[in-house]
Amino acid sequence: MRKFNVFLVLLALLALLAAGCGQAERKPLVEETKGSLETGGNFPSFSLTSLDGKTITSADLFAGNRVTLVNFWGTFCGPCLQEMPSLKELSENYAEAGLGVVGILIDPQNADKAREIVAGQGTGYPTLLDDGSLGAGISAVPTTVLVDSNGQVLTTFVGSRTLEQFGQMVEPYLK
Amino acid sequence: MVDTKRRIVQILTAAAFNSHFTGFARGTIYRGDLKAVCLPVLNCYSCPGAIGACPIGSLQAVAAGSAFQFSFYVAGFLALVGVLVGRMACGWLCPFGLIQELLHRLPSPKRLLPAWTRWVKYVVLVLLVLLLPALATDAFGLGTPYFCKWLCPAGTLEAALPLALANKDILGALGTLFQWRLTWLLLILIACVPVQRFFCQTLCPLGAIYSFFNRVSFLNLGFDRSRCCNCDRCAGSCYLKLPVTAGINHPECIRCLKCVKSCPTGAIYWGIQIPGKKEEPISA
Repeated sequence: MRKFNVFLVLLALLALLAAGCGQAERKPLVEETKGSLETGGNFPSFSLTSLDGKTITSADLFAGNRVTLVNFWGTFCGPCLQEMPSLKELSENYAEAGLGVVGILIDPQNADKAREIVAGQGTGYPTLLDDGSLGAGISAVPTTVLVDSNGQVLTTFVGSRTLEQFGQMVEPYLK
Repeated sequence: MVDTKRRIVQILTAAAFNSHFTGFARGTIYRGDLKAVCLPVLNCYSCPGAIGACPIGSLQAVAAGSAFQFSFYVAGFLALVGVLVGRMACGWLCPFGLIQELLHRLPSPKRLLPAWTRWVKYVVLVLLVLLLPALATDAFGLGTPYFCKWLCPAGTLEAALPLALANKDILGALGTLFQWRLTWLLLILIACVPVQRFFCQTLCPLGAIYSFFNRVSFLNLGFDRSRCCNCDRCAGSCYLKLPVTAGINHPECIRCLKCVKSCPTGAIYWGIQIPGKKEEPISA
């Protein structure tokens, strides 16, 4: 009669436990750069390429608007795509009030698919390709960050929103 | 009497599969390379501690994506586990199975479920895990992981709650869907008190998958009728009150091996049977 080797199983489990504890997670941006997505923090500075090949810097982007709505999204994210029409309408409705909207794609390896999506949606606002430095700092997509003209984060929220909800969020900062 | 060895393994594997402990404090999830590996149990990908992927979540994620409709990698992995040990992963490795068993130890009248309730999990598997995510897609070709989104209590307990408690952004995103999920989780947990492993028996799609393998797995149970004294201690000791001697290697059997331990004559045993080779009993 052979005995089931519990010791070996326990050893394997302990090894797995140690592997999990020892795994170095991808460090969030907030620990590596001088920037934060927390309310009151300074949005991390960036220089990113848009889907149509232009280079856009954070300084120029934020200074050009009273408030900039930065929307992190991914091509795999259904709720992200579903809220795009709302963001398009929001950007049109509040453009004169000084609102700028920009998307940041967190899976830039799918840029071709993103171009199809954006073309199909007709978003009207630029989408930038994350270079890996910003996406690591968010918990989930979609994440939306409101930033003032000085690059200071006004508020951050996770999850998709309706046009009405987006309006309620940006209006206090545009008065 | 608590089968101590199995309980120790359950606790250790729950800790091992969710050993990214810093995630609980930070309200973040592990994003390292190990996350590409499927765990053999229902263990939410978004659990802050999870170091591997949930196979059921992975099946839905692939089905709901725009590129593919079915994950052969995950299916192959589950088939491998099933062929090796059948539903033993449910009985020895699943953290949510452990939680259900602990709840069942609370004092209460105990109940058995009607046999037809065990078929619901197959409907859940086919409809919510395999078909709807692949077929009910939006204009972009993206589907929804219906089981994860609407039904999985492990996701609420292991992921939504700990993330919401530690991450204010996630907390701020909770709405009516979370209210439903929390209610559903509480109903499931309450049902586990009178009914042993209520979720496993009725709703778990992973249990449904593994159930196909119990009769063909390399590791299996054996019954020597010539040694049986008809004492019925095996059925009495069975967590799920299965007809052990009438149908060894029952699809619902989670292979806790209590029947083996309870048999006074060694008529029930477990062993490893590789096709083409003589069965080698491990214990009698």
